[in-house]
Amino acid sequence: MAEKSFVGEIIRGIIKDNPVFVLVLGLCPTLAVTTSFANGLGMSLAFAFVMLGSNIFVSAIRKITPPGVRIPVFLLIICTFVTMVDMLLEAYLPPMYEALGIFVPLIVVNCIVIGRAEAYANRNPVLPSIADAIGISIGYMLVLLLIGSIRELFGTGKLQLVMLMSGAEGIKFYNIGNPLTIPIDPAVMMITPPGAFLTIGTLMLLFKIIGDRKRIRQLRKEGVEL
Amino acid sequence: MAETKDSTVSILIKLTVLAMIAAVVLTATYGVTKKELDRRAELLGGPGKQLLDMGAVPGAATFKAVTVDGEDLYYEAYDGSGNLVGYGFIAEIPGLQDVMTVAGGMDLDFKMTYVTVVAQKETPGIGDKVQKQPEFTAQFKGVGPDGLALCSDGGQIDGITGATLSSKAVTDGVHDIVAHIQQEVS
Amino acid sequence: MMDIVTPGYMPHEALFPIVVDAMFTKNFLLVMFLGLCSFVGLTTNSETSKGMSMAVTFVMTMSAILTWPIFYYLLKPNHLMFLQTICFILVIASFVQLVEFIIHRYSPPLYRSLGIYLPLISTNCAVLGVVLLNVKEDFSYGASIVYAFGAGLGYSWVMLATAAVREKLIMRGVDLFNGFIGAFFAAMMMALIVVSYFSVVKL
Repeated sequence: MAEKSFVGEIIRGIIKDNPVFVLVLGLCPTLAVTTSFANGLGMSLAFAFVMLGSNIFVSAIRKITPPGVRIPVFLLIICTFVTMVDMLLEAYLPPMYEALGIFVPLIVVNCIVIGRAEAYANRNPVLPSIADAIGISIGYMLVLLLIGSIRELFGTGKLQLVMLMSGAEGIKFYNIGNPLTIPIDPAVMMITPPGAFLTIGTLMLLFKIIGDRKRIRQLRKEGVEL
Repeated sequence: MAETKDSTVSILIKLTVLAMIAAVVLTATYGVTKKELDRRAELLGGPGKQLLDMGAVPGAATFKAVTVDGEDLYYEAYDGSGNLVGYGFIAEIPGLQDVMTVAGGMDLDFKMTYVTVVAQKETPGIGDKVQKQPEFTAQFKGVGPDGLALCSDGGQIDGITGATLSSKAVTDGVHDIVAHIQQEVS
Repeated sequence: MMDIVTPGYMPHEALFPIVVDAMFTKNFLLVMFLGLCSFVGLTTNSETSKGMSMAVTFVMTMSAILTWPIFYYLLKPNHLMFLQTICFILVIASFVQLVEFIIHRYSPPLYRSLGIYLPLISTNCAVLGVVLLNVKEDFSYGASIVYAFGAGLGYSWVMLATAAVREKLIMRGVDLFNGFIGAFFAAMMMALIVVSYFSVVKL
């Protein structure tokens, strides 16, 4: 196998192995908490913490993990990190803890984390596993932010960007700039559950059309008659 | 499976060690976060102090909890010289999505002096206006139990446009609490 | 120290709203967004979705029966609530493993129709979701079982309905909507019904 570069691994996680649009995994939080940009950011940061921790530890102990009981071992590791992030959120970011609700403990059964542990971290050294975790987390974050932004913008008519920073009131989410507004009436439906399905369905349709076009162009270039 | 080279004992030892590490890490995190939570709870004070801080009943100096059936149902507000001046409450009411927490106060005639939504999980951008638009809860001031309903239901409270269901939930919830307190007092 | 209040065995809650909530207004797939991986993955044909629905309903109900006593008699009295996630997931996983073993041994026909779905269930967020919600809502023992069963029924009807739609789509050869996209649009329409209709008509 060719030597994989750290950056290459990260980019692969973002585009080629994009957890939501390509692997179609981890859908529950993708749809449930993305009612706003801020919630999407909070969820993806919690996810990134668990993903990174789980990949590092699974990969570090991969040589001594008994193959027969590897799934319980993964679950134990993931559970530990999820419980940690749950407690930390409750203590330091109570509004986010309230907003994400049971979807933080549910990262345990998020198929992406356990899927990457099984398919990647258990077979690769620590460094590539970190790259993989970063890539997958960024890919996941982009999707959550995209869906969150679309739903917030069309559902409430404005979009407030936020960022996790440490400032005068300690570490919390601070607004960046003024909210973006659109000059149309907000469609309440976008924030409700059907809006989530509509958004992800439309986005997937869009990506599929783009992908199909690209493939057809590729085939034409290779001289295939269509 | 062909790859079962570990003996049962070694698997058991490895799992135990792993579980012990997990337990140590979690207990440490729990200790740290517990301290932070306690600190914040102390900062916030009990429900009585919260009611005092938000000025739920004008002129009140202390709030005393009244316990009915093992639950703190409401709080009696006393002024500096120990006279009863009103009642306060912090309670959970059913919302559209999940329960909402409302706090408020009323004078001895059960006319509202203050109402606020402390926590809610209504639809962002719509139902959450019951908390984020203070003009809504400001309308409650001076309204007695009979007026605690939306205008469309014959009361004195204007619902928020587009968020009628959440407005109704808050108004009816507060009405039920006041009615309950009134019933307990008399 | 906080007082330990156990919600009791007999349901003091009104059960009908709980069932309607679990099946429609707070439907696990359409409104709460729990268990979506199996939803997009298995609704391509109605046989598999039937098997999965039965398995999920069974495991959900059994998990509710098993986890309630553990939470209220083991975790809560010892102030170990922060271990709930880890505990519940281990209980569910071992229970699923046990069931798989038992029906594999004693009932091969049942194993053929249900067995292949069981391993999928221990990582299904709908099952963990239902037990977490049970303790979050402070349901009594009876109500938590009813809620879990209702949630299972809610999961089942959406699975079966979507599978029916997708099977038809595949037969018609509407190719852009065949895959996940069709499932999402079908889900959107069902979610619209559940959310809009039931929030206007008060039960």
